[in-house]
Amino acid sequence: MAEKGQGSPARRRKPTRSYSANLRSLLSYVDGTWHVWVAITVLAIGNLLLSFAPRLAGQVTDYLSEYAQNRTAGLDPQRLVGMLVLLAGLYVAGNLLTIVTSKMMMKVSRTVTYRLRRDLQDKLERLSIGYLDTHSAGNIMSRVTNDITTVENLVENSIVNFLVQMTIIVLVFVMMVVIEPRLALVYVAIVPLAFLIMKLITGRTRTEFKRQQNSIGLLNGYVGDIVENHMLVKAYGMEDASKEHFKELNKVSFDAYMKSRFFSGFIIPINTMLNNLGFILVALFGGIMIVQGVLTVGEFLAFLLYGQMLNGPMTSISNSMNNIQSGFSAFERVTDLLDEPDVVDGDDVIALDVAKVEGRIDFSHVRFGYVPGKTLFHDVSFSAEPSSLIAIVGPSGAGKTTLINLLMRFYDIDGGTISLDGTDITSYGRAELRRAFGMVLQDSWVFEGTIAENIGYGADDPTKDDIRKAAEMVGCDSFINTLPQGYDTRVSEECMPLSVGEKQLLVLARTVISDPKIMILDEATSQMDTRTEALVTKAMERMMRGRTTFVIAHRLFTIKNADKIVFMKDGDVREVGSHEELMAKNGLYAEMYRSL
Amino acid sequence: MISLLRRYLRKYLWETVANVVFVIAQVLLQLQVVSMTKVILNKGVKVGDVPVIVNTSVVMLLMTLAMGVSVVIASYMSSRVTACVTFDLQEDIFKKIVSLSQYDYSRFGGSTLMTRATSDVSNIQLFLLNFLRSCLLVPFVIVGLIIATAMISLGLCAILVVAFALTIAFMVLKSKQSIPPFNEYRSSLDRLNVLMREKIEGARSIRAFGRRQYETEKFDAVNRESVDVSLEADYRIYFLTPVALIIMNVAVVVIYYLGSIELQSQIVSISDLILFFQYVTYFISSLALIPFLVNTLPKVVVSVARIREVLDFEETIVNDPKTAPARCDGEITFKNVIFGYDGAKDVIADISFHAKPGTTTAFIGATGSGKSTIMYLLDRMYDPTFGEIFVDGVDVRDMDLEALRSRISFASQKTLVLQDTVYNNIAMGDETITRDDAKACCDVTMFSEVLDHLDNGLDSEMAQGGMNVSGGQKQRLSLARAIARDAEIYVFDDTFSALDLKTEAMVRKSIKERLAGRTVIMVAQKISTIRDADNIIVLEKGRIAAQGTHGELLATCPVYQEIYESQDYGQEGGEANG
Repeated sequence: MAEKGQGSPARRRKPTRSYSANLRSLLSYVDGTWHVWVAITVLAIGNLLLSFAPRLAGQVTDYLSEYAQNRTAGLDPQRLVGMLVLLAGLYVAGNLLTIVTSKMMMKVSRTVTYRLRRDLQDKLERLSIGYLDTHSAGNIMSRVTNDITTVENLVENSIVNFLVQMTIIVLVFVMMVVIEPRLALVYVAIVPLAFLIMKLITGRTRTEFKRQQNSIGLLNGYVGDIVENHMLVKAYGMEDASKEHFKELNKVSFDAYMKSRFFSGFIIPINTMLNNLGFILVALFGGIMIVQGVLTVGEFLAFLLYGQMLNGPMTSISNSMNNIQSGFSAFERVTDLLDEPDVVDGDDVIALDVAKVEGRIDFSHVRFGYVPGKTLFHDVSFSAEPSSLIAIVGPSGAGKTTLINLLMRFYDIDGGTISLDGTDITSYGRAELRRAFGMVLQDSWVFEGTIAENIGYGADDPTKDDIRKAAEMVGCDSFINTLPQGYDTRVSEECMPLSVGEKQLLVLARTVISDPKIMILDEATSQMDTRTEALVTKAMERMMRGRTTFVIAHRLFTIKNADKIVFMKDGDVREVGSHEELMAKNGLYAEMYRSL
Repeated sequence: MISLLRRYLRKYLWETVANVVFVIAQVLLQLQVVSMTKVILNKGVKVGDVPVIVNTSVVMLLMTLAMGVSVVIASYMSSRVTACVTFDLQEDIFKKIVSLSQYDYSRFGGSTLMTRATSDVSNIQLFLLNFLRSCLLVPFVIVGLIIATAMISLGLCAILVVAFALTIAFMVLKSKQSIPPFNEYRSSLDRLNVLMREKIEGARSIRAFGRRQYETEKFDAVNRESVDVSLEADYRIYFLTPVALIIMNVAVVVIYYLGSIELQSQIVSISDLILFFQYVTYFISSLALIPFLVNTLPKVVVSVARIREVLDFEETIVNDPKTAPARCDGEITFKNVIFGYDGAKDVIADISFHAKPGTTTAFIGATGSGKSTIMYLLDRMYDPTFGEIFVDGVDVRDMDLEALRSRISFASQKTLVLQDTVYNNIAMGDETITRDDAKACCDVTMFSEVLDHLDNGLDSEMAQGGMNVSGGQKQRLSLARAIARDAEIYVFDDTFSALDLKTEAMVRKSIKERLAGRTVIMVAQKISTIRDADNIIVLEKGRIAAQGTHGELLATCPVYQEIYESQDYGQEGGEANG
């Protein structure tokens, strides 16, 4: 095909890998590829049958026409009925076989969808946290939603449609040539012409479609912004201003839509006209040929019917090719994500007996940066004794979260060692290591499910009693009981009958049930009313007992009572020591403390 | 569904009619071209007259060109009508969303409103375009064919009519049956999306607990269900097109047979029969539109219903201005106010208080005690179930909504940031707020500190949801926004929570200076924030436990004492500014 599109935006939409490579990879998702081959074979047979039909219809017509010219011979009802039954048989069988193929491909495509989704979800568990931190959730989500739907369509329709259209074109040509090669020349001229014109039009419309997509994106973005900030719009009387702004964006989108659709509207009429041209040429030359006696009336009719059969494929084959192209691009985007490097533990990891963990943590000359070349931690060293309380203190943006990222091995360090009970934490498997930790962050993660499920998430097979006990321990049992369905109340990020503080209590209970040796707590309690805050604080204090605890501390009380304070600033650990030691040092910590 | 489309198409009657006219022209011309084969056969071929064949072909060619012209015009009209209808529809939905009261808005939920305003509209758009362009053809093709074939032979035409009727009845019935499973499929996709999003957002927590098995099983169940439901929905329609083709083709065979009988009794000629088959084939080729219709119709029906739900929603807060307040001093009175959502348990009950002009009233109490609800009632985001609220002596329900809200400057608990410049985030379209004002307000709320770090000062763009600033910084911005407006009443709904103690004290002090003489209503968690208020109202479980000054409450109110003690705990250094 013409390679004119190079460098245009359209070019970028083309798959980067070869079609055969993509196809091979796609087939690996099919459960028993023989289904596909059988489906395609069945389809080919079906189309073969259907392509015989016009010829047979022509023969029937010829037979009737002979009779009409010479009525004395009379009609042989048996012969006529025989031909008609065969004709009906061709139609019925041909279409039934299409149904069989559709059903088979539907099943195949859903299996592919199922497996791609399954693999993507599994991939999400293995992707590095770094990847998730640097890629927007919306971007990943569109792999799971739009792209998979496009791939499903590729498997179920696009490829099959393309094959159908190609086989019909080929079979029809064969039949035409068999009947009368000279008349077939009409279509030999018209079909490539149709392809060429389609290519030209789609080349033009693609940029218009792109522009239209962009304008829609802007419009939807604005709607999203206003919907999200609905309260603000109301409170500040911005109704009219926002309507105005929306109207402007809507106008731009209107124009873009008009342009793209007007041009793309030519595709079908041009095809229809070309087809009519074929029809007329066949009528003209065919008519002359009948007069010359080289063509029968029935063959003439068959030709016209074959011409009609070409109409559909000619109109939609360029569309099918586009669909295949975008289908494979979508598939590539999905597989690109699946091919992202996994976070894997080495083969030489040693087992960690969580029950025997004492909870001593040592940072020794740790060097780390999120981006190569931009070192954040230059040389961090400190140790946490078993069962001690470590307060991490510093202004926001100081790197407190980074410390947690490294402890949990969400990120790996660039130099130095972090060790647990004297063993480098990289010698353990990540999942096992993390089981030794319990983590309660500021924005508590609650998933869609019941409260019991959310708490029970911390253990393998918790009983109802375990869940209740955990809730009692953190002090959220009483408010759960006031909810209409108690522990069976459904919660989710979207619809939340719980306040921020109650959510945090829930997550605390979840952590209690997992019984970790080392705790990581984020103390920030903003937007929590004081009584819930007091509950949370008490629960946290109870949990700290007998466990090594790292607290991102905000309360002076916690800070002063910590066994060790790690003071961070500008992404590095600046001072380490007890409150007294650091006050005596009269450095950054002391300065901060006095300013409070 | 039809009534909605009719409502919107009415405005573009002329274009729609033009579209229909040119569609009809297209069909008539096409049928005419087809019927000319009979002329070629009868007048040309039969008598061996080649010039007639050539001339007829030329006429057919001219007709095809005329058809092309009418298709282009119809294509323009259909694009135009679709674009216009979408434009209007989208605008109406947007207007409706914007005008929804906070209460009604929360009943819908933001994410569903968003998808209704975007993807549901585009479903309708796609359908309308294809409807005007191709589906509209079908009835005209059918009627045209019936007339054309009836002129050849009534008997054969009857067979065709029966076949049409069977095909259409079958299609409509089956595609209707597919609507419920399609609905189910849609909601299973929603569940899948929720799960996936949770996974992305909760990646750290999921790994911390290492519950991979559990996660996999949970996802697998939903994944499997979604695939099953989608198959179930498709099983109901996938065979429609081939079955329709079978019906029509069998009709062709029957017509052949009956045609041969009519041929014998000389009712029809052989060229009549050929023409008849031409017509039927033409119709069958227009059946290619069926898959599109069958696949999109159920979706469009659902989308239209979802959009109508929004458009036809009867708002619970009606702007019905009766009286304009004579004065303008910011006096607030709540009289026995009760509020509950949709007949559920009352959120607040028996709320009565009076805020004199120029005073500061503060609310404190546990989460869920109804503090924010009172603020919303004052700004008429909700209407009370019982009781009255007066601003400057007039019931808020009798005031013009806009006039009421322009008297109140409201800073909400959820800090909201628009994807726009800092200046626009502060001025919010109010042209009386100059850049200097905006800058001054940033100074007051100490947002200036942040501003200094941004590249373009007041013209810096805020990312969506304010992602490029921290929670505390967002709060400072929304405070600047609130004080920039010249109002009588300022509402601060827990707007200091994300500020550290030191910053809070400074910001509060400068705000107090700026708003001297104005009525201030504030909600807070910390006693240190509100201890200077003229009147402090302690809420417990939606009722007023006590009201008075800090000193009075400390002496008499046990709830207040409890809060005070819980805060004193661990915050020795924090009360320095009190």
